[in-house]
Amino acid sequence: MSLLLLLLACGLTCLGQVAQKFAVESWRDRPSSALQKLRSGWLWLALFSLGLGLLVWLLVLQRMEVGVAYPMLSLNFVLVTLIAHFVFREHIDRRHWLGVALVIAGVLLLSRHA
Amino acid sequence: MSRAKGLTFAMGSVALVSAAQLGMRWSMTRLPEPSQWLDALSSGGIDYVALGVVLAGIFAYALSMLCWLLALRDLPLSRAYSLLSISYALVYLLAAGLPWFHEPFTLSKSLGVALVILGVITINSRSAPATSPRNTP
Repeated sequence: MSLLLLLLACGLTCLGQVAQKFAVESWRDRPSSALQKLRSGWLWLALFSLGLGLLVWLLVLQRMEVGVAYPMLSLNFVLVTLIAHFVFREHIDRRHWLGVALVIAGVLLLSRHA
Repeated sequence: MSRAKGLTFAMGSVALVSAAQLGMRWSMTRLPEPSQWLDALSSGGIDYVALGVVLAGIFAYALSMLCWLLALRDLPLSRAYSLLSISYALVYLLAAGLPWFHEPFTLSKSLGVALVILGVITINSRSAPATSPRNTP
């Protein structure tokens, strides 16, 4: 249950990051006033997911040691790399994949203390 | 000179986010779980000090984001992420060393934290893609 909450917090944070990216890109494509920018659905999705992610994170901290849970948030680097590769078709070099493997190994080791 | 300024903001961000995580952990263990919120409200059994520390933690966390953005004006994103991974070690060491947390050192936890930090530094050791996340919350 604690691990599921942690994954949910990571997923929400990641969704927030992607929504931020879409919000900024939509502003770049269509120059607009500050008020129009505020009406971007992506911006609100980003704020909503980051806010909900923080609330879920507080529940994670209620159940898990912070010294274990906080480093496990580095899963975000893994999630974002996978999204960059499979959704945005960005090139990921071998050194980057090696880093992803190291992060996953570390998170697996830490998850035994969840 | 601006590089030194960037480093200062990055280290400020590391210190703030570490303090925020420790403060949120300290206070959340003193607050009721969601299933007991209604009971706690009706009986008035809420630890207001803990509630204040949660709010202070969230504020420190927001402030760390601000420092992070200011640091990015003078530092490349990859360098900033590598610096941010210091906070993993800092939070782990402080939670193990400070008397209020009761989170003992173990070999496998230390190894796990070391692998994660090595991984983040490896990912960011070359020019990283612009999509790397700020590691929130």
